[in-house]
Formats: sequence, structure tokens, C-alpha cells
Amino acid sequence: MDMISHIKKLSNAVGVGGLTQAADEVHSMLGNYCDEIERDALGSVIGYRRCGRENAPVLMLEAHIDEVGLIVTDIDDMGFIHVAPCGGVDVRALPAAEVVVFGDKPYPGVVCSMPPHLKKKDKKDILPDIADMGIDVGMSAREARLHIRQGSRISFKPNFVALDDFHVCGKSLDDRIGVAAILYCLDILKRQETEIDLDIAVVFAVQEELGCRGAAVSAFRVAPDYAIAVDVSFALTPDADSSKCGKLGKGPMIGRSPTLDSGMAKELVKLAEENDIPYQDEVMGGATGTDAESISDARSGTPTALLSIPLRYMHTPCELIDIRDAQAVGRLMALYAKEGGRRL
Amino acid sequence: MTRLKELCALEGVSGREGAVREYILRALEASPAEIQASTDALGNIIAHIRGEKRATNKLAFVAHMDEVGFIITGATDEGFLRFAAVGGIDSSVIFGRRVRINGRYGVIGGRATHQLKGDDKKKEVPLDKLLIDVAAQNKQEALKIAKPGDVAVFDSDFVKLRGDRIKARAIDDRGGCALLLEMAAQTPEYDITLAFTVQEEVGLRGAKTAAFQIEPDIAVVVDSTTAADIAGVKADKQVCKVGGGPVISFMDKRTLYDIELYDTIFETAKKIGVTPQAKSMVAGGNDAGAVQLSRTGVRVAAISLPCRYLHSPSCVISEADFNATLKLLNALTGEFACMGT
Repeated sequence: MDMISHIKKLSNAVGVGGLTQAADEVHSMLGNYCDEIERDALGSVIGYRRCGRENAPVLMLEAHIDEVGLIVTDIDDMGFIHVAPCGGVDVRALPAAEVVVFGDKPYPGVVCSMPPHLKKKDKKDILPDIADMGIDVGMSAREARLHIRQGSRISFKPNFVALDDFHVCGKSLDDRIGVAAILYCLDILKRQETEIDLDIAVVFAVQEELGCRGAAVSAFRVAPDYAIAVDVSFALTPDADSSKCGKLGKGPMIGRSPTLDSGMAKELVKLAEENDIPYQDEVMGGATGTDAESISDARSGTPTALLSIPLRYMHTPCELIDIRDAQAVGRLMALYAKEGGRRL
Repeated sequence: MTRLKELCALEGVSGREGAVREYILRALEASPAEIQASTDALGNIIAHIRGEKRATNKLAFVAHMDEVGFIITGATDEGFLRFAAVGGIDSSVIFGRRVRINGRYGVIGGRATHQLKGDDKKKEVPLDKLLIDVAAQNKQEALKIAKPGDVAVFDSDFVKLRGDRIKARAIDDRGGCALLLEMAAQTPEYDITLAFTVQEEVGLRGAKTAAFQIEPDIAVVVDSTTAADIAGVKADKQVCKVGGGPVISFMDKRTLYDIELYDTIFETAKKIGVTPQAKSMVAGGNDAGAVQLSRTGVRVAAISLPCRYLHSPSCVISEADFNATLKLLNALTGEFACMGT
């Protein structure tokens, strides 16, 4: 499996809340690995890899397929598109950013940036509210209102590139890189023709960026015996607090938190150590802010682990990751499916 | 627009205009017109074009080849590149952007928005706090990718937006360069001189030495200027409008323009059916500031393409403005060549 070309397709597909391009893309990718694939009522993609044994336990592997973006609230008389955030976009990355407005078809646009001489003197370094920024699609008001409507979604412009053999950059790597890691795991299991003693349910969930909603209903549907959520977490940059970040390229961040299953975390650590897979600890005092919580409290509860891939510049158009971290997550999950499954 | 597209694809941060210069020299060579082009010590191109008729005024058109960008000043122990801005880049358009550097990519960003509280979430990160991430593991690795003095530009392609709008990097002033090359593509009515200048963005420096050599009677600076006709800006602060036609300057921060030339531009435009607009705010500056004060003084005019988000990765202009400006420039050649005689 050519990891980088997979990630490129995944990053460049659009999955701002409600748009299905990214879900369609993973649906077709999953075809290589799953016997059954379905979509639930909210749009999440669910695939099953059955082991063939009656009443086999179900391990759910989950990553979210949606991404942060914007949603049209108004079109002003000059034809500028006004928006609200659809997920927590980094406001600092918006001025002059390139976007795609999904009207009756996709239209390229630019987020207005205020010329320096017009910035308010008293608060020069505070950016306007997102609602006041406006997006330039080169249309008159009449034309814009014809092609774009309130509720139209907006994404960052697809812009995936590789910086070198291992580092790649683009929009929505939060959490397409998690998706890629799960596909990588399925690829390992397929290539090794490994017999495992459990069923794997893969969930690519919608609406994580809006409050971890999609994973909750998908977990209810799948009713797994245990689950691993794969998401991204903060990778250290020189301006950040190192105690709150993982390090890029230093391996999966294994989550420890009151909301996560500590036994599964221990098992993952053990497997990593036994198999020389680098890993980092990510300890959180409470909710992890990922789909892990909404999976773990679905139905009567599911033991859930969280594996995070370190990522820089989260929620900007230029998220940056090291693919080796994602591959290590994939390997770790494949080992867990083989070894952990037997111990369950 | 092929020429503009090709020019915008080239990297030419102030002082590093080589690729743009070579492109322009090749284009001049390919023209059927009789052109004598030379390069001076700073890297300006000065091209004398023989017209169908002799001009009584030495008439020059000036556009700058350089663009704003970044210059590497060093690297941190963690392997991030330090940089300074070359020319006026507003800090609000840098965060979350990708740059091209020595044929590779870098990313400018910082800690995640999730790790900021309250107003800090929408606070611009000052330029001197930003670094370029080239995914290097340490200082040595980073300095292998780029050394102090190397330059970077925003990574932004040439895209047609809806209608006649174009989005690209470096339209300031590859737009002017493209217009001058169009003028040189056929034999003009009168003799003219074209100057493609260097180092405009760092103080109008190329234009100073170019004007010294050309000794023009009249110079027309062809540049791109801030159009603030954007969301949230009142009509009286918009400076000029994209789609509103060529922008004519009466005064900016560097130049008080020749009033007769200014009036003639409007009259000529009217004759040929072009609608120009006055630059309605005294702001900015261009090569005219240097040319006007060359030797014993030069009469100057400035005609600019209205450009939104100037000096950002996403400059936006209108193709109709470009074409109208070209038409106006060609007509002015005749008007200015024999003016006052």
C-alpha cells in the first residue's frame, strides 16, 4: 500500500460536516479489506472484517472522517460570503486563506484580509470575528445568491504535499491520518493473512468536530466488545508547552485518562515494547475531547483505548505529520487485534 | 493571461530577481520589434524599443520584477528556520501558510488554537515569533535545507476565480511586467523605453539606478495597488475597486504626481473608451518616488492594477482591468511621446 498516495487522496477529499466526498473515498478504499460496508443514518462509514467464528468478540477501530470548515450564513450586497465556523478552525490561519465554497458546484475563493492601513489602530493585532471576515468568490451579489446559499459548506482548498519521504502536509490530516492508520492496519492483516479470533468493525465517523456525535450512534449500532479510537494530538512546536504536547516522529501517543480503559492502554504499551514500536504517553486528567468518550459510554459501555498521532498546526490548512507515526499506530493495532484478541 | 501566469510562477524576492529577469529577456528577444535590451549592475533590465516614429520626449514605462517574501536568518536548535520579511508583509496573512524554499516546502505556524485562551485565539502572531517548519530534526539538518540569506515565497498557484478574477502570488508586480511585455510584443507607434526594475519592495532601489541611466522626460510607473473593496470596508476607505478599471495616482506616500500627465491619462482613457479610477487614498508608494527625483527630475505618472489582498499569497485582480490597462498604456504612448511640442 502506497501510504503517501492514500493520504493524499484522503487529505484532498472534502468532509466538512454534511459533505460526503471523504466518506465516499474511504468507502471505496475499505472495499479492499471489508466484506460488508454500510453507512449509518448520519453518514458514517462502517465496515466489517469477519473472522468466521460464531459470536466472535468485536473490536471496533474508529477514526473520524469529518474536518473543520465553515458554513455560509449570509451573502452581502457586494457579493462577499459571510460564514460561521463548522468546527473549531484556527482563526489565525483565515486571512488570505484559499477555500472552496460548495455551492451548486465547487467555487474557489479567498478569505478577505484587511490591508494593514485599514486595521483598527487600538486593536491592530486582533483579527476580526469570523462572521465579519467575508469570502471573495469573484461574484456579484446577484450571481453569488444564485449559486451559493445559506448552509453551503466551505472547506480549505485541498493542498496536500510531501515535504520529504516521511513528512506530509495538507488540510484535514486531523483525522484522515487516523483513517490512513486504520487502513494500514487492515492492510497488514490482509498481507499477513493473519487469522485472528475476532471480528473487526471499522468506523469512519462523521461530526467529531461538532462534538463527537457521529461515533456515538455508530458505536451504538456496532455494539463492540472493545474499541480503539485513533485521532491526532498536539505535536510540539517551539512556542508550545512541552508538557502538553507529544513529539512528531516519536511514535503513537498512548492515551491514559479516567475515561479510557487502563487495561487496554497497558496492553498496547506492552505490545509496543515487545515489538520495538516507539510510543509516547499522553496523560489527560479527564475527557480526552475525542470520539473515545462517545464510544466508551455508548449502550452499556465499552472499554476503549485512544491512540493519537502527533500533528502540528491543528485546524489550519497546513497540518503536518510524520507518516511513520501513523504506520506505527497501524502496526500496533494489528498486533492488538492478533494478540490482544486472544487474551480477551 | 499565459504570460502573467508564467511570470507569477517564477520566484523573485527582492534581490533575487534572476529567474524573472531571464524570462523577460527571453520574451523581449522573441519579440518582432527592434529592441535593445541590457542589464545593469543591480539587475534592472532596460529595453529601448524603436517605434514606427521618433518621439520628442524620452518616454519610459517602469514595472518592478521583485516581490515580497522571506529571508532566512538562521535556525533554532529544534530545527526550525528563523526568518525576516523582505518588503511589507502583514503578519495576519502568514500564520498557517506554506512557503517554497530552495525547491522544498516549509510551513509557518505555531501551537494549536486549542492551547490558546480567549482573545489569544484571534490574536495575530507577530512575525518575529514565527518560524518555518521544514520537518528537520535539528539545527544542522535545517541549515542543510536553507542557509542564512536564502529566500522563501508563499506557496500559491495561479487560479481563475469566477468571472474574470485571477488569484495568484506576486501579481505585485508581475502584473506590471506582463503589461510591459505585451507592449513590447509588437512595434509601438513611438520609441519607448521599458525598465524592469529590481528591489522595489525594499525601497524603490532599482528604479533609482534605472532612471539615472534612462534619463527619461516622462516616466509611467505600472504597478499593482491595494484595492480595499472588500467585506467590512466602507466606500470611502476602499482606495480603489477590482473591476473598476486602471487606477491613476495623484498622490501617494512617496510621490506627488505631475498634474498634466494625470489629466491627460483621464482624457485619453475617455477617448478610447476605457474607464479609469483615481486612487482615492494617499497611501502606499511605488517606483515613481525614485524616478521623479532622478538627476534633475522627471515628470511621472502611475497606472496600477487594482489588487485585493496585496502582498498576501492570494492576490486577486480582474482580467478586464488588465486588458483595459494595456489599452490605456498603448494609447498613452502616442499622447506622451510628443506632449508639449
